[in-house]
This record gives sequence, C-alpha cells and structure tokens, in this order.
Amino acid sequence: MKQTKSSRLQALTAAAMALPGISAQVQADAPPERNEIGYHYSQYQEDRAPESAVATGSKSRYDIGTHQFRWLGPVNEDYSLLATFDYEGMSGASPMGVTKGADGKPLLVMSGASIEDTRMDLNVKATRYFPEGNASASLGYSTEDDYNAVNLGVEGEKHFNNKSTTLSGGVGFSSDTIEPTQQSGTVRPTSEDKTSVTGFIGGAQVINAVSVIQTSLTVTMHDGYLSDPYRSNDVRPDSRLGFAWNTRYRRWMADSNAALHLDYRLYSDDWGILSHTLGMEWHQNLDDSLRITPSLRYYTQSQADFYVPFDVSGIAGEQSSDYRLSPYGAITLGLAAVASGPNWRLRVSGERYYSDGDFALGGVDVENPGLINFTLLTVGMEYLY
Amino acid sequence: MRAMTELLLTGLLMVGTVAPSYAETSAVAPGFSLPSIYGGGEVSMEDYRGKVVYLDFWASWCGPCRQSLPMLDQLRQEVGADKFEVIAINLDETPEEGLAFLKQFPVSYTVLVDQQKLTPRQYQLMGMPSSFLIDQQGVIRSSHTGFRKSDIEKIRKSVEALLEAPTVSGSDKTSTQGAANES
Amino acid sequence: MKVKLGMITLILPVFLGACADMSVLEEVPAWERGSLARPEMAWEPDPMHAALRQHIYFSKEASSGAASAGGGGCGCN
Repeated sequence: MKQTKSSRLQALTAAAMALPGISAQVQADAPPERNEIGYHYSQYQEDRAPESAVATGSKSRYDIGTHQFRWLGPVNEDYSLLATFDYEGMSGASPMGVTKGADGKPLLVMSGASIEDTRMDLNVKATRYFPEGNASASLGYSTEDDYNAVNLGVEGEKHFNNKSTTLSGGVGFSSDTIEPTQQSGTVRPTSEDKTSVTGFIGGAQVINAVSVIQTSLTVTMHDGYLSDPYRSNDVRPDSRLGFAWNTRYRRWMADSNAALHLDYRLYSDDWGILSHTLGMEWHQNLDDSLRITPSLRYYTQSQADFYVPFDVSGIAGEQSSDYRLSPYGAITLGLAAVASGPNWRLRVSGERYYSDGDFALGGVDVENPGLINFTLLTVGMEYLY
Repeated sequence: MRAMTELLLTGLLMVGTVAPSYAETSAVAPGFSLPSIYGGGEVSMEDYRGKVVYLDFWASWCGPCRQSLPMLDQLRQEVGADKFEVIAINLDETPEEGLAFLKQFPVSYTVLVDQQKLTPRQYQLMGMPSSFLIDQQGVIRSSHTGFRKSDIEKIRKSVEALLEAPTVSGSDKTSTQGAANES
Repeated sequence: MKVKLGMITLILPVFLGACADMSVLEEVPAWERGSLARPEMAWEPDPMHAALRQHIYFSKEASSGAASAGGGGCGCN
C-alpha cells in the first residue's frame, strides 16, 4: 500500500481523465429538512403630531402591536407547507385632511376620537419541488373591522447551469372589500370593492463564490375603489398601474466575517409617483452564535398628479392631500441582533423611520404636515425540529 | 452584464432537460490518498478493494447532510463494516467547520478531508452532497446528487445487490484487479 | 440637503463596487458554494421580519412591489 505521493497523484489524474461523465445530474430542489416554527412580537409607534401642525382633532398617531406566527415544514419528499398568521391591534388618530392656517401654512385636520381596529391575516402556501426548480400556490385571507381581502397566487422557480442561474415568475390576484365605519356628519360610502392583479418575472445569478445578484420586474394593476373613505375630500382614479424593478445583491466578506446586502427598487405608476428605494444591511458575525446587523434605508418619492397640498372642497375631479401621495423622502436606521443555536434563533431589533420633505430628491415647495416618524421594536424567536 | 445575458439565454434553451437523479456508470473510481479529518494517517481508495464502498462528498453547510450522515452510519452498522464501508470526504473550507458538524452528528465511519479540493474535480461533482457507489473491484456502479430520506433504502438495495453478485465469492487481489482493468 | 448628499455619497460607491463585481462572472463549482449557502447570505435571512417591514412600507408609502405573488391588501392604503 505504500506509494509515493507524486505517483499517487499521477495515477489519479490519469483516472480522472478516463472518467466519462460519471456525475451528469445536478442536485434536485428539495423541501426544508426540518420544521421551523416562529413567533415575533413587534411594537410600531408613530410620533405624536406636533402641536403646531394640527388645526383640529387628536394629536396621537398610530400605535400598532403585531403578533406574527409562522410555520414552515416538509410534508413529504416533494412538498412543503408554509403558514403565517398575523394579529394586529391598532389605535390612534389619522389625518382627515389638510387645511390652510392663518399664516398660509398647511395644518392637519385629525380625526377626533381614537380609532381602534384589529387586523388578522392568514396565509398558506404549498410548494412542490422538482429536479431543477419548484412551484407554489398560495391562498390568503385578511380581515379588519371595516375591511376584507382574499388573495391567491402561483409562482415558480427554475434553475439552470448547475444552479448558477435561477429564473422565477408568478402571478397574484387579490379581491378587497371596504365597508367604512359610518360617522354622523360625514358622507362615506357603505361598501366598495377593489381588485388587484400582480405579475412578476425575475432572474438570479451566482456571480462568484462570494456574491449573487437577483433582479425582477413586477407589474401591479389595481381596479375599483382606491380612495380613502375616511378623508374629507379624497377622490382618486379608479385604476392604478404600477411597475417595480427590484435588484438585490449579496456579498460575503470573508475577511470581516460579514455579509453585505444591497437592495434597490425603482417604482413608477400612472398616478405620477416615481420612487427610489435603496437598502443596505451589514450582517456582522461576532461569533458562531451571535450576529449584529445595522441597516440603512433611503426612500424618495415624487407626488401623485392629483395630489393637493391643501384640500379644496366643493370642486369636482380627483384630489388627495394624503401625505402618502405627497413628495418626500425618508430614512430608516436599524439595528438587529440575532443569537442562534443548532435548533433555535432569537431576534431583537429596533428601527427608526424619519420622513421629511427635505429628504426628497428634488425640491418640495409645501411639505405635507402629515409625514410620519416611527419606531419599530421587535422581539422574535424561531425553533427548528 | 453581457455574460449574464448569455447565461440567461443558455438557461432558457435548457428548459425541459431534466436529468435522472441516479446515473449508472461503469467507470473506474479515481484513486486518492487523503488524511483523516481527525488527524493521523492517510487513507487511500485501494485500501478498500474487496469491499463495497459508498463514497460520500459532504460539507457542514449542506442541508441534506444532517440527514445523510446519521443514516449512512446506521446502514453501515446494519450491513456490516467487514463487507460495506462508507468513506466520507469533507469539502468545507476549513476542517474545523466539518469537525464542529461531526460533534453534532457523530459517525463511526472514515471521514477524510480534501483541502486541495482535488477529488471533487476528479469525481466531477455537480451538487452537494454527491455520492458514488463503488463495487468490490473499484468500479463506480452508480452516482447520485442530493440526499432524501427515502434514498437510504435505494442505497441499501444497491449495496445488497452488489454483495450478492457472484464476483464477490472467492475474490482475491489479482482477480479483482483484472475485473477493474477490463471495464 | 445634507442628509440627501450624505445618503448618496454613502450608498453610490457601494453600488458602483457591486456593478464592477458583476462584470466578471465566474463558474462556481458545487463544493465552493459554502459562503453562498450561509444563512446571512439569503435574500431574506429573516422572512418574518421582512414581511412585516414590507407591510409597513406598503401601508405608509406610495410604492409597492416585491418579487413575490402572494400577500393581500389591507385597509391602510
């Protein structure tokens, strides 16, 4: 059995050359090996509206507590099932309009009493795995005191070039009904519908042993009642066509023992909204079981064509003074810590969101007084079995 | 960017070519001599002539490996290590990662480490894990990529079929060498 | 304005670096994908939190659209 290293090497090099494609097949797509169960609790809190920005009504904005449950597991060797359930309790006041103050500055007209609402959202997704890809179908139901939505979707992935390239695509459909809470003194619709259709195609590519990129194009079409029934003068078009181009890049930094995430989204729709979203995350491993992730997100949007800085009553046609349709920019700073073991994961994270007219690309003449700042705190755990 | 477009196009042309998960072969298993992951002397492929060998390439980051390692260990004990051997070759970037995994999923069979990553090239690995069933004469009888729980029964049947084959009885060094050369 | 410039000077070079990285595609053999298989290299290392974030931004901003077909609306937009 004793042989010199070099002769061994020669022998095996020769043998390798004689091999006629012994391993012609690639790794099949497969369900996850283990079940995964998770629970997260998040506290979302918007800052109170400043005294100087409110004409009438409450100054408190939204405060939302969210319980998230998630279960993912293999059903058999070809199928997996994913189920998520969210329970949200929200309270606070929301802007009903924007009026001109004595000095000509915009002021918020807030709803008087605090609004209380709960939202429940159940989604189930089944995935079938194929030798070089997977396909899934999902079904979801979401309900609030004044809102119901049913959605379904199908999507698939196919791998190429020994899993170096992945193409994906899918379509989704959602049917929503809003039945606004009535209030004396206001005229609100009793029941309105909206349908949405979404389609996307995407591709992912392994660039080298440490980096991957994914890009996708999403088209969304909304049709029906798209206005906000709780705003005094809110009339929006009854259709909306939007495009989103998403690109995500991941790079492993071996020297730092960290992963860099870069995300970019370009969004444009026929309401005149054009937005850019840039995201950056740095997943720093401190040791085998602890990871710290600082994150930064920048967002900027232009206004909708029918956006008005002040409500104009008694005119026909489209208008909205919703801050979400106003021109502004926003920054999110986040920090997360994830501790993990062989079969568990714990997460604690905090994010702080600031929005401001001055953060927008391009100038903003009249900043909407309804722009929000919020804090999001999350604790979560996952268990694998 | 151009290269990516080319790859995407090539990918599109390949739609529908689904390869079988098991491939039957009759190639002579490339030889190797590698150190044990636990340290100590080198082990070579030829040391196992006369035994049926399941050669398994794995890494700590490979998901299905947390199933395959314990199941292979059990199969080896059931069939009998005197007739059937599992040789695992770890392909982690550093042996420490493989050792940490083995601490969690200990196995009694031979685990080697190939830091030069020469063997995966010789065996033309397409995925992780990849395995090769090698007969008593050193001929690769089948290869497989990936691992599912039900695979272990297929492996057991293949191993038993090889053990029952007439060539096993009275096999001596010269005759096995001859068989390997003929194929 | 300061914030805007800050954002651009911070993020732009990183994106340009990523583009340079992409111009050279390499064939990565199966056994060298350990780094890519790391959990923190996933598109979404924490799918639960990613879903919540997506829901919040969808509710509070005018844009929407991610590479998935599931999920429904809410009475928030």
